[in-house]
Amino acid sequence: MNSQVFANALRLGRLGLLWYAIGIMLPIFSGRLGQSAMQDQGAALGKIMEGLPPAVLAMFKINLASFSSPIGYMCARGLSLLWPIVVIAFAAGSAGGISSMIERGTIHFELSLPVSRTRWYQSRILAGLLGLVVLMLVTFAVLSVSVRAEWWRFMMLGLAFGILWLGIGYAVAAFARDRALVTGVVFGLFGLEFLLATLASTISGAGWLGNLSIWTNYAPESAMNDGVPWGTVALWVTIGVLGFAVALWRWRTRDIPA
Amino acid sequence: MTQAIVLQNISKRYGTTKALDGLELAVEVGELFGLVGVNGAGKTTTLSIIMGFIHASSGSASVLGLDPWTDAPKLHSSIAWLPGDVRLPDAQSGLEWLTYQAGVAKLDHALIPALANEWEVPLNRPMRTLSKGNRQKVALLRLLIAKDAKLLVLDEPTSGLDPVAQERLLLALRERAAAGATVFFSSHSLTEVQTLCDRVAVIDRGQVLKLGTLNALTGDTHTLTVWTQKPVNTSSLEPWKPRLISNTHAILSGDRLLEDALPKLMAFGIERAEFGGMNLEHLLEQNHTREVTR
Repeated sequence: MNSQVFANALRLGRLGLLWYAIGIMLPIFSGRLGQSAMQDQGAALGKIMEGLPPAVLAMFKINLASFSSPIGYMCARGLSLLWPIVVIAFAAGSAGGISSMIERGTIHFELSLPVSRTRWYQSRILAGLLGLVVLMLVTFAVLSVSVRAEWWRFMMLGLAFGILWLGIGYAVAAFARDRALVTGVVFGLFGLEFLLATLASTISGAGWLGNLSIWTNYAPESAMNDGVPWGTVALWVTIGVLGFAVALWRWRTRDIPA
Repeated sequence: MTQAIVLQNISKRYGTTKALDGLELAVEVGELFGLVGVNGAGKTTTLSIIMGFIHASSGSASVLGLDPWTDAPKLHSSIAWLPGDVRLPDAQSGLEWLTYQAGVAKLDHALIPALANEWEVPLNRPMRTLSKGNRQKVALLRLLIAKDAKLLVLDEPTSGLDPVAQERLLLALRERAAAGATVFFSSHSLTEVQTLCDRVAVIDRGQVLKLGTLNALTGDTHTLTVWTQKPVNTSSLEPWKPRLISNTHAILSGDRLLEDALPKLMAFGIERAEFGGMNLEHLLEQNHTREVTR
């Protein structure tokens, strides 16, 4: 790691990080604001929800019981769908910054510095991880002022989820020549995961597909109620770290013509 | 170490495209060396290999006694690089970027304000607001603050600079060479190569076609440029290596006495004829024409 490259990456990404932090706060605040009204009309809402096909409820992780508690509502509304999308966008944006440097031609002054490619990329990855930690702390702070609960359980799941997507993002960025490819691949994978989870919940006999989907295993409400799924957390962190390793290998060996 | 750059039988492929094809080059320490060639000749690929941005498909490269690919970090503490098409981070100011670059490369920050003043570069504005010329000057300052660099690698560095700045850059490069640095310089501007460089390599299709001092390359060769009334038939003029600019405009060159070509040219009705010395433009065009028509 090179501290100056690390610091410069943070300096360049600070404004973007601010917007991601705002983006991650808003779904939680809006969930908290809407929860009391929804709770008052829980019975009426429950009847409407009961009429929906179970597959739709599964696809959007809607648990009817969720609407009766602030934690459940917030998990169902903010943390199950909007929060992970913001985190995936952050991962794609953070990793895509490197591809953008190649695309725009600003990378060569970086490559002409007396820093090994491995150390340079490590510094960028660590800046991305620090950004993720900042987002987690913002999430924790906002959740804690909204509702008292053991939010650290969600933090564990969310952090592992973020590391997983950062690993994927940085691995793709080490191969890509432009930001659009990184964003496309990361969100394409996200869509594929969503599709697998949907197929698993809508087609009889296809439940096994759900095991292949990150989306199936990303269940914040379950983590809050039943405890942290440490196996899933360990698997995601491992995949994320493998992604970083692939990224470092590729970055060290690839040609980047002037 | 007497040679700053040694490239031996270097080839580079991008997929099916061969960018360099057995390139051979040696640059002495303290030399002002020019690399010239038409677009796609392989100049930037050569510079990319020297800088360690890419690795050669085959052959061996040595820069300041080090392998530019495997020893890149160590090598980069002794090299200053200036590209022709300068791209800098839009959001940063020139001062922020130079301070960062100087910090990582352990260069003298204190030189920045004085150089910015001397080169009249606005360093406090975000670089997206700077003109192309001023961005080029910011990158130029990056080169100049590396005052202890043993090798300066420049890829068409004067593009975007005004004539006064171009002249000052060439002067600065001469001073650095006089102080012992090696200058490796690629350019489309053949005039500046002619005025600056001790030796020149002409490359085309990834190979060095000619290499030597300017005098050795152009030698005693002269040219005869003619404008005629009728289209020129080149078959009768082969001994003088005719090159057609248009049907009625040709340049003859070579070792044979050019005056001897005049009787044959009379057949096409000479409107105007000019004798001149061979320069690099002719050399490049001649080589390129020969390659195209091969």
